[in-house]
Amino acid sequence: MGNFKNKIGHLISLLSISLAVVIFLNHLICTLLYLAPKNPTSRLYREYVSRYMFPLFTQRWLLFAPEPQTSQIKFIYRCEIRGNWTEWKDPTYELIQRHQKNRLSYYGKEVYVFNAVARDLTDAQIIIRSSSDLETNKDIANAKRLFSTICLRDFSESSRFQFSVISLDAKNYSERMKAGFYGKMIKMDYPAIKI
Amino acid sequence: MNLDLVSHNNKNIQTLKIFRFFLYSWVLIFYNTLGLNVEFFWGKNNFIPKITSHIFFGNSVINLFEYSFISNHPFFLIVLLDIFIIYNLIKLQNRFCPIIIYFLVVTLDARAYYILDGGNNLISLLLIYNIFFRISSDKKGGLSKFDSSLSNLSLLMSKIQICIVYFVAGHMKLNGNYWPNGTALYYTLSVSEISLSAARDFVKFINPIFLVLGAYSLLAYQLSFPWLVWFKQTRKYVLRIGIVFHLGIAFIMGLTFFGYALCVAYFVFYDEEEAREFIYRFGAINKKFKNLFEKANARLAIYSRKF
Repeated sequence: MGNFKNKIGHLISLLSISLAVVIFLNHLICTLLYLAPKNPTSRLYREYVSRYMFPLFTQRWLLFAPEPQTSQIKFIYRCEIRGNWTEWKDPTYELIQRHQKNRLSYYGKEVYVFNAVARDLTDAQIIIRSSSDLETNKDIANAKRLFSTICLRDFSESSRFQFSVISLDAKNYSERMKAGFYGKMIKMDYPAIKI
Repeated sequence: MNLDLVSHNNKNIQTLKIFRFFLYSWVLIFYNTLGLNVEFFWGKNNFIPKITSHIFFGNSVINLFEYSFISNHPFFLIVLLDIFIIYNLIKLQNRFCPIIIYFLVVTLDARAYYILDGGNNLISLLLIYNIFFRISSDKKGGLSKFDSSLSNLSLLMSKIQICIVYFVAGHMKLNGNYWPNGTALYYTLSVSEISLSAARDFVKFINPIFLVLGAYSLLAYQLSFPWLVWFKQTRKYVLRIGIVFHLGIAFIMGLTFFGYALCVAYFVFYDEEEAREFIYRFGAINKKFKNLFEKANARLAIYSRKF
């Protein structure tokens, strides 16, 4: 009887270990197929692999590969106070200065948020064709809320604000000695908006 | 290389202990630092649009931000995360804490998805493997064969995962334009606005030979990491170079949490002996600090008596 129990116990542990190994191999193969460049095997099992990997094991190696960032998208804004416009300002300037002083702070991540809001506008290629676009588009609404908050925070008497999205390309390596940090610049202005 | 996957006694206890400690320290530092401005990142009126179909969980029942209490008091989630992490560090054997910690991290990440980078991605993957780590207490005896093999397989998968990260990064860089032509470091450091301004000037004026050499060394490192890290003779050099490289990313490029996340990931490669030595050294430093503190306290007491 004892011998039989031992055998059953041994069988159960063998089965459970085999199960763990199968799960492990499945995970490993799916991860490899998910990340590998397109090939006949990954095409064949694409559906199964993406169903398995999404959403828990999704891997976006943004900072690892493949090319360095060669352009930057950011906001500039200005506020109107009693009929006078302030200078155009970069909302991330102070945050970047603070992040430079203290690397273990949240300021760097705040910069991410500003840049992501700006990127959303350019990714969607939102062009204002009519005034209703300003009212209906979600990304514009988000940017509007962001800058009305900033203008009211900085100048409580602000009545209007305006923002622009600028895309800055890095200077080519061969032009690195020319003045300024950036090469080509594209500016997209949005109309002044009432707070 | 220890591939003993089915032993009753988990032979990687010290490795798992220090890895879990540093993994949780990353989570604690990241969420508590950002928690100082909790309303901006997770607040009800923040500027990160809510996604209707949750990235991680399609079912809104388990998206905690759908509940008004959580969306009004997001700091509660960070406090909860702190409590579970501290409890799990005290009770390393607890099997439910890692699941809850993973769930809380994913919930927080899904609400503040604008701020995520490769470091967050890697940490959330490692937190999944962490769920299956089994750290037995010596008092209770060994682990079941299933638990032990699951734990060892998870540790092995964590190692493979990091190797995959390096291999994919190296392979894709090799097939890109800027890394093979040697100008990648110039663009990486000069475009990013959070890089040190001294580094921007440095890549501008440095002799191009060093720029190309730097880019090629990095490529060589990323492509050789997945192979060299498995051998004890080469592992310690590979990991030391990696730590210097990632601390450079953290402080020169300003990607602090990303650099620290990669340094944390390296702890899975420590074998039991190295992990024990690390703990011993850490303990010795701790003792030194304790002694210094006690001495300073004693002197303070003498001075206070004098005055």
